[in-house]
Order: sequence, then structure tokens, then C-alpha cells
Amino acid sequence: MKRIISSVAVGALLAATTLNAQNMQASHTASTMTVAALKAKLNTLLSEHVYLAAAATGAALGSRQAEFQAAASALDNNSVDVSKAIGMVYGTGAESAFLALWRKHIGFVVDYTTGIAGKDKMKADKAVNDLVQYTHDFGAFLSSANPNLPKSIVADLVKGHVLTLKSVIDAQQMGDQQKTYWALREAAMHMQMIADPLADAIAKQFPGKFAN
Amino acid sequence: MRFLVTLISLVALNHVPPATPDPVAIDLKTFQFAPDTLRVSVGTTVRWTNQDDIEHTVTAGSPSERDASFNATLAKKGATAERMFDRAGTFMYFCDRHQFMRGTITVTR
Repeated sequence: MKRIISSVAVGALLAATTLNAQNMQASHTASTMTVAALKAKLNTLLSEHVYLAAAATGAALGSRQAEFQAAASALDNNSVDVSKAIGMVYGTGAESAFLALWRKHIGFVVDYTTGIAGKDKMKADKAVNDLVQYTHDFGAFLSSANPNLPKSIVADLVKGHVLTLKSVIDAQQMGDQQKTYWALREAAMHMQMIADPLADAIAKQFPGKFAN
Repeated sequence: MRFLVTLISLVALNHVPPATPDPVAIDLKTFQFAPDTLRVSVGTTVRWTNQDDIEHTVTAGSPSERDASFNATLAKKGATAERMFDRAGTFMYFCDRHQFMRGTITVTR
């Protein structure tokens, strides 16, 4: 039963991803987008990132290999979409660099998940350290692309993402469903704290491209 | 006497060493080498400048096949590194901390 519920949930997430991808193809280019549309797009992509990441880690911890692979694949499609949003503003070179950087943090989350699943504290601790270092890299990337985004503030916001997602994974590992879904909502909501300032900073940097 | 001064000045002018050309610049910005491909002639000096607020390296070779010919750490924003390419060839390099950052310099005669 538990497996069926999870499969339905992941199926719904995959359907949402497909719809989102279709919507994105038909959606605005940077030159016609409003700030509100940019904000909505980034919020959708980043909250989807959290739900898909949690679907993948939940499946991994439950040893549901097929579900894990499907969730990981959908998560990577989401990563590509997030990178395209960056590329839309900063060009294809930045898009490629961002995608590589973004995928790195997903790799560290996988390391953390497999570390706690295998009760390998050293591996889990290393993954946490890598994730903390990653927040500085991510802050440096966005601050380099956009001077309206101070590195330390971005790094702190991404650290919040890492910690809220870690709470989800820890709850999944404990098998505490109430705590898992409470933490999952909190982790998803936290992404607004990244998406909104990012959209505002981009609009401030390119006032001619984004209408109010 | 005036002729002698003029002659000495002309000789001195003839001995001014030719100006060293400025290094060719490559920026490390938003986790990219820009430009990531470069073609220069033998004897050219290339200067890398870190424009990101994070440590990068300029390491010869590729992550799977390192080359000990050069390796510089650009610890912070504004840090620079230079290398003069004194032989023809194709030189790949990457950032050891962010190994997706890759660049290639083709040196021709």
C-alpha cells in the first residue's frame, strides 16, 4: 500500500513536471515577461525541485529502485528547466555552468541520503560539509552574475534550503510520515525566499526586459 | 656639437627595446573561462583574472588527465595568474575546484 501511494504521488509529480515543461515551452521569453511572471516561474521551478528531491530521497531510503530512478530523472529535468531560466537571462554559457553547479548539490544530497541509509556517518558528514561549501559556490555564482545579489545573503538562503531538505530526509529515514510532510512543506515554502529575491534582483538588473 | 647630440639621440632611440605586448586576457567569471577557447602565437603571455568571489584554479590538462606544466590558484576576486606559451600546441586546462570549468589555448608558430 505504502508503495502504491508513493507511486501515485510520484506519478502526479511527473505529470506536473510534464505539464510545467509544456507550459514553459509556450511561455514568455525574457523580453516579454513581467516581474510577476518571472517570480511565479522561479517559485514553481524551485518548489518542484524540493518535491522531486524528496520523492527521490524517499524512494532511495525505501529501497524502491524503479521509483528512485523515475524521481531522479524528473528531478534532473527540473534542473535543466531551472538552468534554462538562468540561461534565458545570462546566456548559454552561464546556463551550462549553472546546470553543472546545480547538479553538484543534488549529488551531495544523494551522498547524504546514501550515507544515512547505510549508517555511514563519515559519508553523511562529508556530504553535509560539501553542501555547506556548495552554498558559498552558489552565492558566488549568483553574485557574479548579478551584483544585486550579495554572496553571503545568497549563501545563507541556500543554506536554509540545504537544512530544510535535510530535515525532510532525516524524517524519511526515521519513518516519521507526519514529520516528513510537515518538513517537506516547510522546505518547499523556503524556496520562495530564494525565488522572490532572485526574480527581483534580475528585474532590477535588466529593467528593460521585465515589465512591472 | 648639435649634430653630435642629434646623432646620440638617434642611436639611443634605435636601442629602445620593443614594447612587450600586453598579455592576452581570460576572465574567470560566473564559473566560466571567458573566452574558453583562444588562439595565440608562440611567445604570447596569457593572463587569467578571477572575477568571481570564490577560489578558482587554472590547472593544466583535464580532470582525468592532469598535466603538471602549470597550476595556479586564484584565491579570490581580482587574483591573477600569467603564463607565457613558448611552444606550439594545444593546451587544455580546467578549474580543479569546479571541474566543469574548462578552457583550451591553441598556440601556433
